[in-house]
Amino acid sequence: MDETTINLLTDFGEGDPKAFERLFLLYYPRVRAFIDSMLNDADTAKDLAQDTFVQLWKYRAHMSQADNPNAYVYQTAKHILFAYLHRQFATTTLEDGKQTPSLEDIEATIYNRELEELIECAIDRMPPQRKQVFCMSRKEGLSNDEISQRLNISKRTVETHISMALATLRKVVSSLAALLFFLKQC
Amino acid sequence: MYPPKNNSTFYKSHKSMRRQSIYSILRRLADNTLPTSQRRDVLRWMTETPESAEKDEALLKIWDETDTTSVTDDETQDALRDVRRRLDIESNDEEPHEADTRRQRWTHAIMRYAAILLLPIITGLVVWGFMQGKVEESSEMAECYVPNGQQRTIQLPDGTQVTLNSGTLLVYPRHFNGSIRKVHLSGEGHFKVTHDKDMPFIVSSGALNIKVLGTVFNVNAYPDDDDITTSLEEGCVNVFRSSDTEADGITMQPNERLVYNRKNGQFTLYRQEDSDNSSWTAGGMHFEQQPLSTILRTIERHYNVSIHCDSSLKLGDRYTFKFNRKETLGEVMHILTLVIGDTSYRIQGRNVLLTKKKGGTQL
Repeated sequence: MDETTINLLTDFGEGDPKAFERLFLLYYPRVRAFIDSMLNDADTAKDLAQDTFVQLWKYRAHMSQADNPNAYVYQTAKHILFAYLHRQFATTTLEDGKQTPSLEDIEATIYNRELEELIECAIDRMPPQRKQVFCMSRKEGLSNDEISQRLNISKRTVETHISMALATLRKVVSSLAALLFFLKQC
Repeated sequence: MYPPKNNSTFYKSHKSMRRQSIYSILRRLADNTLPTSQRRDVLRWMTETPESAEKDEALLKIWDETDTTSVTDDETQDALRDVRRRLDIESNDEEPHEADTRRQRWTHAIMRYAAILLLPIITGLVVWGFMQGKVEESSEMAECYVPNGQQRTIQLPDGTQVTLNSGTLLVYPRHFNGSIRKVHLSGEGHFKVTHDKDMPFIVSSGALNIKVLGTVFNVNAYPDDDDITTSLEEGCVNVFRSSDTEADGITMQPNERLVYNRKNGQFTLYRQEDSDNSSWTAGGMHFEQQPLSTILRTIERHYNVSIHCDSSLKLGDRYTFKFNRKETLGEVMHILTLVIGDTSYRIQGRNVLLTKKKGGTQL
């Protein structure tokens, strides 16, 4: 760990407003985008991201003992997100009486054949480079850096390809959901 | 029976498969490529207690991979101001900070004026785009798929009624905006188009476009057929190749049937006394001088079966048939074999065998 990071952690722990600002500017976008990706609700994500930093500041004394700010901020953000979801579920579980599904249940519903086929078909119809980038990212699990080095294209291009590929898939998934709804009606 | 080595590798690979599976489920959640109906279950599963190390590991990976470009600097600054207020943290460097915000206010003001000046230009461009019909494709698309053995009538957002035959896919925008109403058809559809002279209705079936203002017509464009057949009942339509412009198209009159052959790119126009091409909408099947191959494919779709036939059958021979909706598959096959002659059929579940009769011809 380099010296600035150590300083950041100790200064933050001691209640230095400047250290707070630095940590905020460094991590707010990630906290906000991460929670939004989980909830798909930008307004709630903004609120919870703010709560995360309030929490970090309140318990700042612990911060100076942390050895990795990234992991520490992540754990706090996750804690805030999970606490929010538990509150949400507590109010609705009573109504629908649903049990928490198991990994097997989730796998069975997510990997249903029609959806898989449709997604594969949509990936297949993407322009060649986008298809390659997307498969490297989501199927082989390579990072954006690795992909940009291997294909000798900029990281920005990799990101654009992935976000456009995801936009296509979201359309496919939502149209399938509409189709399933339609079939149920008949 | 199995050496211990195998057991441990099995266990290990099972464990890593489980880890991979957990990661890809959470990845789909974060990518927002899950159907809405499943999001809730996944969130519930994600937050179940006790927490699992595998999920935490997967989430940390997703955290590290999170794309932060969607969060603007302005939003971050606003949020910082809010949180500072909540925590009562003073900005130490009041003076330079004040100057910063003042400069920022200036740039904001300039940007605002620029936006106000640019607004009419941008609006103009957007309107122009709509007039050209270029923006229309970007509207969200809906699709209706009718499986084999079924038919369905749907109403489009403009009130147009479409009856879709077996094995047909129709893709259409959820809202018609722009200067045209365009839908994509793969299969057979019978259209009763709501009249709107300012917004022509176009049925696109790959190679061919059919443009109308408001009228009743039938389009048969199954991807496994060489022919695309348009039959007009009322009004007037213009049929043109997707590669051509409208001016090169053919204008049809009522009771005409236009057949476009995808292989040679030729049009053939027929006049017909009774416009019965849409009798299928009443549940029947009507063939007029159609090749046997087309007739068999239509029966396959209508009854959701596969027909396997003898190579000695002449699939190019043309026949005229009319079946009503009450007729069963057995009755249809019976009539077919009588007309073709010298053939017999056998129905086994979802398969139909059509064969030449063995043991010499009989008259």
